Amino acid sequence: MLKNISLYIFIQIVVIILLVVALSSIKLKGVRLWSYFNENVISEGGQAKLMFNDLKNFVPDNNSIFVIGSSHAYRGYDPRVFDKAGMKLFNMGTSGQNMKDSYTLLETNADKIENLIVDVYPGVLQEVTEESTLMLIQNSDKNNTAFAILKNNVTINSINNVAARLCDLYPKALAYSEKYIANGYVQKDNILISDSSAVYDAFKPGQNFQYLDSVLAFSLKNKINVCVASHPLKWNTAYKQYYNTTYLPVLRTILDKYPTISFFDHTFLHSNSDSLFSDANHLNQSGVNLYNDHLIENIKSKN
Amino acid sequence: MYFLLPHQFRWIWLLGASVYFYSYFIPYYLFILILAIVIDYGAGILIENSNNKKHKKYYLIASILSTILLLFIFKYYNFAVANINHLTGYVQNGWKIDLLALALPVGLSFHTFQSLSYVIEVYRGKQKAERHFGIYSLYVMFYPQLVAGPIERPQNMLHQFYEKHNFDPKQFTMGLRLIVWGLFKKVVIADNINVITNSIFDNYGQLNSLYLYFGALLFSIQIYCDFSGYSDMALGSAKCMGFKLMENFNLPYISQSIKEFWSRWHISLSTWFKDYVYLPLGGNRDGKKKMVLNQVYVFLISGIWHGANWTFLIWGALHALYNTVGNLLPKRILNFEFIKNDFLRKKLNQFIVFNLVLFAWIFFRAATVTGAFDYISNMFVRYNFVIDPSDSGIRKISFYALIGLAIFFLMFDRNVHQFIRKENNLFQLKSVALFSVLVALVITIGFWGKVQFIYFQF
Repeated sequence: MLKNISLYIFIQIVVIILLVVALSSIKLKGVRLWSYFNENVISEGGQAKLMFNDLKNFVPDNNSIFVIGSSHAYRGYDPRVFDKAGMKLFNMGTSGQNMKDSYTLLETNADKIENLIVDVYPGVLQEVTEESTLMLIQNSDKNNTAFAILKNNVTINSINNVAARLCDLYPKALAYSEKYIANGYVQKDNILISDSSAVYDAFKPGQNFQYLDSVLAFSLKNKINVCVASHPLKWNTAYKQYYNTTYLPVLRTILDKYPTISFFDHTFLHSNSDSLFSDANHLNQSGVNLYNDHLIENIKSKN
Repeated sequence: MYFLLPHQFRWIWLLGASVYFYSYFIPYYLFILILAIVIDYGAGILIENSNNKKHKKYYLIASILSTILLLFIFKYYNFAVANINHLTGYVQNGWKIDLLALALPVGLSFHTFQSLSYVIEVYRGKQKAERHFGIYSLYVMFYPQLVAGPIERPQNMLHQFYEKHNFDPKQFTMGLRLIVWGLFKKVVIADNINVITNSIFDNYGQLNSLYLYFGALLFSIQIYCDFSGYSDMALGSAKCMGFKLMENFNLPYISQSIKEFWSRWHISLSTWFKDYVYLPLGGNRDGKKKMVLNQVYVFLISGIWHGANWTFLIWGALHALYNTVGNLLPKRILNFEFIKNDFLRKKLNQFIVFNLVLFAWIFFRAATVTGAFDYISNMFVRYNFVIDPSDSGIRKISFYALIGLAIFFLMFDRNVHQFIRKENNLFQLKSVALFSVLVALVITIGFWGKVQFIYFQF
């Protein structure tokens, strides 16, 4: 019986490995066969891939600033604007990045980071979703980072994504169609047409919220100069009220624990100017220029 | 852990595990379940202790009414009130009854029916009243079948809690195989199909006939794999511990008549209705007309049992209609006796029955009756049989793959179903190959997101 069970386990492992290698390496139109059968196995490529490539070659100095956050971050902090002000900025924002993944990115790159901006908005503090985790696993520059992300999020989907990454015999990133600028930034030039506003479900502080706390605590412990920033969003009156009466008081419960950390809240900086937004959640380049100038002034005056 | 405990303490372990399992959904609903248990436990003892036939009947009626009241409050009250409000809204504007802000306890219809079958069997004298409150609670709460059946009978279950089950590697492996097969049906087939059916049923207004037909076809496979997958896992996990639950499905989609379909689909519910509704109504004892009428009642009750929505009632009514036509049509027409080739005749019957069932599933899946009728009318009006070329490559190929998988599943389910239940092939090469591939597919292409079992809502 024991011999049979051992043999079965051996065969099982061989079958899984063969299937994983086949699903990872056989590609249709550049996309792994695995992604056709399982939408939770993410393809390699996109802004995250380009960002990690740049991160590998980025040489920071004492004044370098890193940004972590979601698409609000990688579409909202332009290294070229900071460069003009004599600041070297690297944008580590990725699509849907939750605070748990931000924490892992911070932890795995702590040796490079001296100054940090943590971009926050109500959505990113709600539930931890897998979208960002799986994408970071596929695109991180080092296997170590992928394993660190896996360690913090052990699910079958994240294990599958690590397996796809490791067993892909012919890795090739998919092309990216948006306007990628060096050091993690993506430029948007269009102007918001429809009269829309950012919409979020009722705020429920969850796991993400605790990880914001961890990010701030880790930064202070590792002597990283950290600030929290909210970039401008297109709000309507109802959400302005929601932001001020529901979200902000809860956010304050964490920020108040760290009186040395500045909070630069630019949420309503130009909420009435449609021409500065590309959509309800993201600024276009004109909006980013204005916002980044504003933020740089804030940072300088604080220092 | 179960096998490590001394026999006399195992029921405590099982009951604890069942309480934990149920509390995982909405903890305070445990009290509703305990209330139902207390009522039926007490009723069973009172019925057995009483020497007066009239009193026995009163206790039975009280127990049935209190169980139905629980079901009504949590499952049907809002439906009834919404309909009353809707009707009276035309008569007297502004007058309405308030709805209750209650969520439906998971699997309420399942465990209340299981509890009812106990009281009825005690009343009929076919089951002795259970005196051990813990064991009776376990009978209602046994976690493998607590939230989605099979709806067991006391004669099959209660004695098993007293029997000592020793660890049997063969039974344990058989149980694991059933769990793997159920998991495969659930996460690989049903949950992957769910992504496509959601998209088709949510956007039926923009889709053509071919998409809409495939949407209904995929849902037919989804609901079977979802529900029978759960049943297989329930049977498997019970088997691992030495318990034997009743089979709930027996290849329903190979049925050649609606009557046969209902003897193969959700067997524990069909037999429940037969024993406790159809036969007490008179069954087929009072002629064909009465029999047909009794069957119509059963189908309508079965429809509303599934959910408090007109869509379920219409789904039940459609099956009643199919069944009535089947009863009234002459056998030679119904069975295509003019076709001489047996194989062809059988396949034609299976095809027709499957498509009738598929058509009825549209009402089961749709959110509203209007939605279901719109879906059906689009299915017949938009007769464009082209898969939309504007879909992305991934979506299109997944769509083809799932249709292929669904058809493959329909064709080969019978062989796999029988193979999995064979006891003498545990370490044969064929068996090892099949299970290692199934496990590998569950891990790699299973949909590991949050998709609840469809029948948990009932």
